[in-house]
Amino acid sequence: MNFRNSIAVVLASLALLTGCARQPADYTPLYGSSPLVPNTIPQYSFGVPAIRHARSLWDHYAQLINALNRDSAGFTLKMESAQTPDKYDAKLRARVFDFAIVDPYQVLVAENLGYAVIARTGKPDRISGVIVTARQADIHRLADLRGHTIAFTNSTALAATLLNEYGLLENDLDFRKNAVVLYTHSPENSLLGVTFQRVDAAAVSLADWEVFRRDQPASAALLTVLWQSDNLSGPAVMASGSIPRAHLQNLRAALTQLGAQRNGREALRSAGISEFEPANSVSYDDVWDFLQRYRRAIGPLPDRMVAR
Amino acid sequence: MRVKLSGSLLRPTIRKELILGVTSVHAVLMLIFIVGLVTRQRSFLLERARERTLHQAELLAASAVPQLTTNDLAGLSEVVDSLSHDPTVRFAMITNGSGLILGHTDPKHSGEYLRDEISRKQLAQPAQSRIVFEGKDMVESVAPVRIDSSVLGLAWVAADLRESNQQLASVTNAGIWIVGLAVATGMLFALLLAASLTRQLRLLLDGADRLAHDNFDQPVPLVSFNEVGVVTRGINRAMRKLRSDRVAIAQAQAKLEAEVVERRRAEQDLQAANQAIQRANDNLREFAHVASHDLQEPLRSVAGFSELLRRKYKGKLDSQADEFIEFIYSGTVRMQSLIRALLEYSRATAAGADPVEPVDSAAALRAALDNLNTAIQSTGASIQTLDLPKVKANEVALVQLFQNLVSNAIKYSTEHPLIQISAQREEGFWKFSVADNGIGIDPRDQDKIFQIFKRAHGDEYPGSGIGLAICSRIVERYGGRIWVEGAPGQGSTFFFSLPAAPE
Repeated sequence: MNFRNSIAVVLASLALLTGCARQPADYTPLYGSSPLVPNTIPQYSFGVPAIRHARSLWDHYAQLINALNRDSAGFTLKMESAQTPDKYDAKLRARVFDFAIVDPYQVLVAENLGYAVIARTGKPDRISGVIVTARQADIHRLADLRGHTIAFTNSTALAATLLNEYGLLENDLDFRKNAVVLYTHSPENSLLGVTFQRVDAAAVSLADWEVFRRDQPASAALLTVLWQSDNLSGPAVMASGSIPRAHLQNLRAALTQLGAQRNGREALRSAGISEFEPANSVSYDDVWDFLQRYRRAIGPLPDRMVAR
Repeated sequence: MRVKLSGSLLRPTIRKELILGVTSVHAVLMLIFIVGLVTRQRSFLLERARERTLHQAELLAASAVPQLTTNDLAGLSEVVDSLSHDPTVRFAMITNGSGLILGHTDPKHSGEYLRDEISRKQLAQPAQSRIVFEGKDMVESVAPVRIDSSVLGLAWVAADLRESNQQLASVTNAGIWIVGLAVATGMLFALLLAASLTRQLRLLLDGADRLAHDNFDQPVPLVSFNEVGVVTRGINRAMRKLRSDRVAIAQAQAKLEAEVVERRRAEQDLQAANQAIQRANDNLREFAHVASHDLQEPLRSVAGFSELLRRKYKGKLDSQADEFIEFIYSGTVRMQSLIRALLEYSRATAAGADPVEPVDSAAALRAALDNLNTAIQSTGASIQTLDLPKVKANEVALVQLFQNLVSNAIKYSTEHPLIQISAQREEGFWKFSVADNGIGIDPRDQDKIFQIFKRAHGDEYPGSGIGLAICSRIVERYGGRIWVEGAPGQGSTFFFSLPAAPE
């Protein structure tokens, strides 16, 4: 191999081996304040109550939103929620939602923020509190809970806490002095606490009890409802004051007509709602009356129930 | 001229070619290795970045499900922001299907829309995980934020490859150093190898150079036992052989020179002898010629007067005188015969006297036979001839040759001589044969009969002893040869050869 051949071989090898494809230049996304294709149909956020797990939240309310989108004309709805009830409250107070399903005790708060009631859940969905004990426990009436431990989900829930607290007091058991109160942060914890005899009674909402019976029938079979409170109006569907009236009417119609269609009925069943009926501010007077009575009998309402 | 391996830089030598070859092989192999390594490393890093960014996008999408389900933008920002601490992530974001940025590692872009072409294409395509863009320093992936079959948004993650590229550059630089080191090592190794391999060759070239200058005394040192070593041993053997041959040649040359001197001296002696002989011959011929002429004159007087004495005084003197006169007469006749023969011999040995030309040997034979007609008739000899050729000779000499041989055959024949004459071609000569059924010749005498005055038989057969000598001189004059075969009582065959005439 002579010199020229050697150089030629080396150069050819270099050319061959380094002849790799070049990568294109980098790019930076181009940002703008408006979409390339503007949305001509308005999209409204539809707040649904917070459920910790997104999967459960989706399972509960996605069909409802889809059904309402099918039945509504002139706008679309986008489901929105929060990871905790407190954050949901915060969003509501921040007027993030265009529409929202709100607990009864929040109706007055929301009205003060500019929301208006357009519908509420049906009679089967009216809220009430229940006190559940073990079947084998020697507890037959609320007064028997004197000196026992009662598990509450939290201190502010209307049905699970306030209605039960009011009922205990009306039945001669000042829970604040004569019972041990625990907050378990979930109705399931409270009910399982009774099952495993960690607590003597669980104060939950009727809806919570029904869910527990459905999800854990074996455990529920060991328990019994010791007492149930009077019921109050269920959750309301409220609309922001900025929503055009026509859209309000369209959504109210869609909500109240859900039960008339199979998809609607399935959506209602997934959401744990029997039906929606037209409602307005007056529809929640019973809740207002109960809160007044509670305040007089027990004391100040939780901060979340007070309009700021 | 002495051939040096380390000559001009551009002069090709085995050493240079070996160094270049080994170094080139090193360079090429290392280049292939390093480029392959870097390419594989680049591919590996790119694939890893691709997988990583795709995985990050899918992870971001999975993490964003709760936030997107609840439209928790603050939570979404926290989720996206968790990637901002990753140095390999250039940016990450969550958008909805319209390109609205719901969360971005750079918060100022939250609430803005994607408007570039690449992003718009991706938004228009079915939602699935894929690589959006591969650049020199960036790989971007997108993954759908999905719950059930519903797509809540898209998670975008762009990986920053600059750190990987820096690692790759480090690998490349290290590779370049390794290539350089390998080439240098290869060159050093090639130098040592070439020096080792070509050392014997250089010694061999020196030996060849000495050979070219006839220096066989110093053998080529043997430092290697490879093929060149084998050749070196062969060269050394050849040098030893040449050395010994040279001594032998020198000895032979000296001997030859001595022989040449000796031969030259002998030639000079021979030449002197020849000249002496030639002078003697010339003298002899002159003597014979002069003698034969000069002797014939007084002899004719002796013969004439002895003839007169014989005829005039026969019976007038006593018988003893008649006998003496008869002796004188016959001696004179014999002396005349001898002188004539000697004169003929003298003529025959006079080289160059007669012209040489193509001669029809058959005609020459006929002339000879005519001259011998009386003898043939008186003896009743039978002459048989075959076709005879033309030869290069002198016609007179050839007639005399045939005449002497036929006459000789008749003389030594029995009562009915039978003589057969023929010729046979042998290369550039014709071989003639003259066979008879005579008394034959003893083989011991077959050579001497061609000498002058030498005879095989006694006086019972008359003759001067010159005839065959004349035949021998005639044949030899034209480059031929004469000899006889036969045995006593079985006849004789005389052979002679003469050059053939051109066809």
